[in-house]
Parts: sequence; C-alpha cells; structure tokens
Amino acid sequence: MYVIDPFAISGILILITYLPLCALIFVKGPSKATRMYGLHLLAVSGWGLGSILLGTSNEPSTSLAIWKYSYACVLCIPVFFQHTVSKLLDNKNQLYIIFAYFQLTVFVTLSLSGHIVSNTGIHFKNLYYFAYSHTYLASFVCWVLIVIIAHVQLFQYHRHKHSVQHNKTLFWAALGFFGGIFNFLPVFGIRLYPFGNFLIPIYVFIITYAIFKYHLFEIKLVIKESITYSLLITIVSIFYVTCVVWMEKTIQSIVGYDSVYISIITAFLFGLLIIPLKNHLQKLIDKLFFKKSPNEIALENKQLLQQITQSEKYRTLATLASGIAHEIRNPLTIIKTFTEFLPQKHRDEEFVQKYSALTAKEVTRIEDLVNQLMSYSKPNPPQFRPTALRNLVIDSLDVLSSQLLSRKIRCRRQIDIGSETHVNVDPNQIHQVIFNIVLNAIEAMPSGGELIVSADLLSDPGGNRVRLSFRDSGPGIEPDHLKQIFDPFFTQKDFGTGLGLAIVQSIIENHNGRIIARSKVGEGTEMVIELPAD
Amino acid sequence: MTEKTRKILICDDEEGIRESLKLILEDHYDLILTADSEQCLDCLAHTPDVDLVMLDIKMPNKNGLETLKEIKARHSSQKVMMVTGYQSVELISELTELGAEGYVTKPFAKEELLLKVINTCG
Repeated sequence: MYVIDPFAISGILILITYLPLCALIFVKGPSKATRMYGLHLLAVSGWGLGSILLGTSNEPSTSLAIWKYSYACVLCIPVFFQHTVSKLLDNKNQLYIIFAYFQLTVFVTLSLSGHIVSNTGIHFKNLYYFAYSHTYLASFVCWVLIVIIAHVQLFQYHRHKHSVQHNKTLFWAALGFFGGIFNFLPVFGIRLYPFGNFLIPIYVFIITYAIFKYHLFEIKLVIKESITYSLLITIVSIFYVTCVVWMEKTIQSIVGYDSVYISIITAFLFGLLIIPLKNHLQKLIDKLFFKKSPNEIALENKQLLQQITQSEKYRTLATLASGIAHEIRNPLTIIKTFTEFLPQKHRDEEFVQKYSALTAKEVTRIEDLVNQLMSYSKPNPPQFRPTALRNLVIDSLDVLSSQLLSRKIRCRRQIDIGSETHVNVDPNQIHQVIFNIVLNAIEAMPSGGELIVSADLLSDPGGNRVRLSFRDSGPGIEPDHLKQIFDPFFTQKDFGTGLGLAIVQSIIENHNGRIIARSKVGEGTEMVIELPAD
Repeated sequence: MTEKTRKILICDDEEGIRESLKLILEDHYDLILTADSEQCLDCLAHTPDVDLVMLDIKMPNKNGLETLKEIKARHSSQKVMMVTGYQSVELISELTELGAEGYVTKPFAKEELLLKVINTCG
C-alpha cells in the first residue's frame, strides 16, 4: 500500500512557507545580502522538496537517490546563510566565506557521487535514512561550525546595532537550525524520529515577522493582513487534505473496499473538525509568534505607518519653525525701529506715512508666517487651489535659507516662471515636498556645496506643465540605490524614517504630476518634478 | 547734528531693514543704500573712502558671506559689519575668520546699533 510519511508533510510545510518568502526577498530585497538570503531560503526549499519526496518514497533505492540531492541542498543552507551575514555585516575578512564554499564544493561533490550517502541503513516505518560514514561526520561538523559562526556574528552585530527585542527574535529564529540538527541524528544511530523538520517552518515565521516588524535584513515592508491569513489557510488546507487522504486510506483498509461515499463522509467529518482546528492553530500562532491577532498586527502596522508619516512631518515642521523664527526677525526689526523713533518723530508726516505702511506690511508678513506654520502643523485634508508656484518656491527657499547657510550651501535660484503661472495644488503639501527635497540635498552636502533650484514652464500638446528641478553637488547615489529611493523605508542615512521621498512621490502623484530622480556618483543628484499648469 | 564725516555703505535686500538702518544712522553718517551683492560691490569699486560696509547675510543669489569674501579679496582693508538674524557660534566664528570687523543681530535696538557702528568705524 502507498503510504505518506509525516516527513512529507513537514516538507510541504517547509516548501509553502519558504518559497513565498524566497520570492518576496528576490523581488523586494534591496541588496546583495538580502538576495543571498533568498538563496539560503531556496536551499531550505530544496530540502523541503527532498523531504516531500523522501516521505512519499517507499523504495530504498529511490530514497537513496533523493537523499543525495537533498543532502546537497542541506549542505548549501548554512553556507548561504553565512554569506548573507558576511554581506550584511560588510565583513572584510573573507576567510570564513572561502572556507564555507570550499567545504561546500567538496561535500556536495561527495554527496552527489554517493560518497556520503551510500546506502539506506535505517528507516522509520516508511521513511528511509542512509547509514553513517566518516565523510558524513566531517560534513556534519562543518555544517554545525558554519551555523555557529554565522549566528555568533549576527548576534554580535545586532547586540550593538539593534534592540534587545530584535535579538530575541534572532534567538528564536535560530530554532530553525536547531530543528534542522535533529534530522542528522538518526544517521548517528540515534533512533529519534526527525521531528525537527517541523521546527524549520517556525524559523521562517519568525524571520518573516522580524522582516515586517524590525526590517530584518534591511527588507522594509509593511505587513498586509492578507499575508498572514493566506499563509495560515494554505498550511491548514494542506494539513486538511493530507488528513483526509490518510483517514480515507485507513477507513478503506478497515472496511476493505473503495467507496466515493467513504471519501465524501471522511472529507465532511474532517471539514467539521478543521474550522475549530484552524481557529485554535491561528490563536496558537498569534500567541506564540505575533503576540497579537493578524487584525491587531495589521492595525498596529497601519498606526505605526501613520506615526512614522507624522514624525516625518514633524521633522519638516521643526525645520519650518526654525526658518520662520529667523524670518520673523526682519519684520520685528522694522517694527522695533519704528516704535523707537515714534515718540520723537510722530509729527514728521513723511516718517509716519512711510513707517505705518512698512509696519502694516511687516505685521501681515508675520501673520502669514504664523499661518503657514499653523496650517502645516494641522493634519488638514489636501486643499487644492490655484497657486503661484513661483512664490511658493521662493517662500520655501527663504524658510530653508538658514539651514542652507549654516551648511555653507550656496543656493542658486533660476526661477523662470512668473507669478502669473498658477498650478492647482495644495500649497502645504508642495511646501512639504520642497522641504523634503531640499533637506535631503542639505544632508547630502555636509561640507557645503551648491544647490540649483530652477523652475520653468513646458508647453506640449497635452497641456502646459511646470518643471521644478533641485540639483545638488553632493556625492550622488549609486544606480542600485537610485531605483529604490522612492520605496517606503529605504534610506541611506543613519537617521530618518526613509519615508520622506515616498511621501513626496505620493503627494506629487496625487497632484497628477511626476517626479524623477537622476544621479551620478561623484557629481550630484537632481530631483525633477513636473506638475500640470493652468 | 554732528558733521557727517564718515561714509557707510548698506547692503540689504529688504527695504524695511534698509530704511530702519537709515533711520538710526542718517543723522550721524553719510549713507549709501544698496539692495544686493552686485550693487554693493559695484558701488564699493566706484566710491572712494567708504568707512564701513554693513552687509545682510541672507540675500538672494549671492549671500552676505560670499559678498564679504569678495570685498575682502578686492579691498583687504575695508571694514565690514554683518547684519544678521542668525546667532549661532559657528556663524560668528566664520564671520571672524572671513575678516568681518563685527556683527549686529536682528532685531537691534537703535542705541546698540549705533554704539557698535561707532566702535567699529568711529
């Protein structure tokens, strides 16, 4: 009779948990380190596939062939992990990596050529294992050694760089490797069922959680409610189908004949059980790894995103406040001088006329500045209105002039549009866009430099557009990073949220405009914004 | 009114500030008012015996610091006093490094300004 061993189920669990994460990392992974981590996950998936095949194979000779392939995958797992850690830490010492790849090449060759896996010695009911050899022991020692080195390096790195919570996550994540070790034991004559395979998917759950919550491996994503649910439903469904098949076979072996009714009744009975089971499993997973329900996590992430977005706004607001504090000094000077001279010159008509006009103008200026600050600090919904972009740009640059000056940055303005050119925008949001871009430029030039801000009108058959350009003389951005600068949470700075340019892009797109970033390493970066003009 | 023997060149892009400085200083000094760096440098090149240049720092195109550098490069003995809203230590030390004779921060009181100008150019 054809029987599926539970080892196959563990393989299915590994495959369905690792492959989506692997795909996610290859698509979203921003660096070589993360792509290397993707390879690590691919190697584990390869082992998962091997586990399925081993759990469903009832032939010793077939099992042996599968073991050769599977063990080659197992050997790759810690090496790719070690390489990931090395890339992540930007480790200049390549000795570990050279050793890891050298032993990998040797042992993979030995495994595929049958020098490690040579005969199936023991088995657990339907699961065939291979027998012990000295080369196997050597490969196992290297495997454990590389796992230990990688984790020690990773723990040390995170102890310095990240929070205790982050480290706890990594500790739990190491469970995956710990689980993996149980798979080696039967070969040493320890007749313990390799249940450790079931611990391996836990590892991926923790790593996924850490990626979403702590941006582990610099992968910065916002968790979506559906991801957790889909994953859980897939696992439960596979478990359900496996149980139905197993129960069906068992009942058929007892009753002694095949019947479609038996299959339907079995499926129905399991269907009744599976819903509470799914709910219990969901609660268990939530409690164990997420501490909260998926809905609460999704809500928490939404709130976190809002908080970060707001903190990004506060950062701009602080700049705006500091700029305004300076801007207010000029009108104050004028008003102060006027009041000082008023007692002695109040009969001088020319003085009174001139200074009354000037004071009124300066008071309005203060009022405008305060209003600007107030309206920016309030979380107002966007209010689109025809706005003279020229004035908006000049006002924003005036507010930022103290920052530019303190960083010894010369700001050249080439505003080739007049006050009559209007764009239908929310002035507050465009202020925020300009602040963000100019502040980024300022941060890119810590030792001074030049910022050229230009504005011109473009005419084409589709309608007029206003083009704003901000060109700095900073170090520039590497092409790989340039592609990601509008991605949420992507940042090259040691501070900041990495949301600034994502918000800028979203604002510009809401204005039916577009934003392009151009950069050349060593020459500088240019941000170009195009907005439809009236 | 004392006889005006000293000449001050004022450079500020804001009319209100120029007028305020004029109001405080006009009884004591001959004043030339300019609105940007270019005018200021041009005026300095064609006007002999300017005793003091009063320069705003925040000006469009060429700011006060760049203008100060150019003035010192062309007329090394020219006395320059900066008029600024910024009060950072870094800025003040930079002004000293660039050779400014003094600075006055906005908003200034008339006595304070006058005293600083008298101390700088007599």
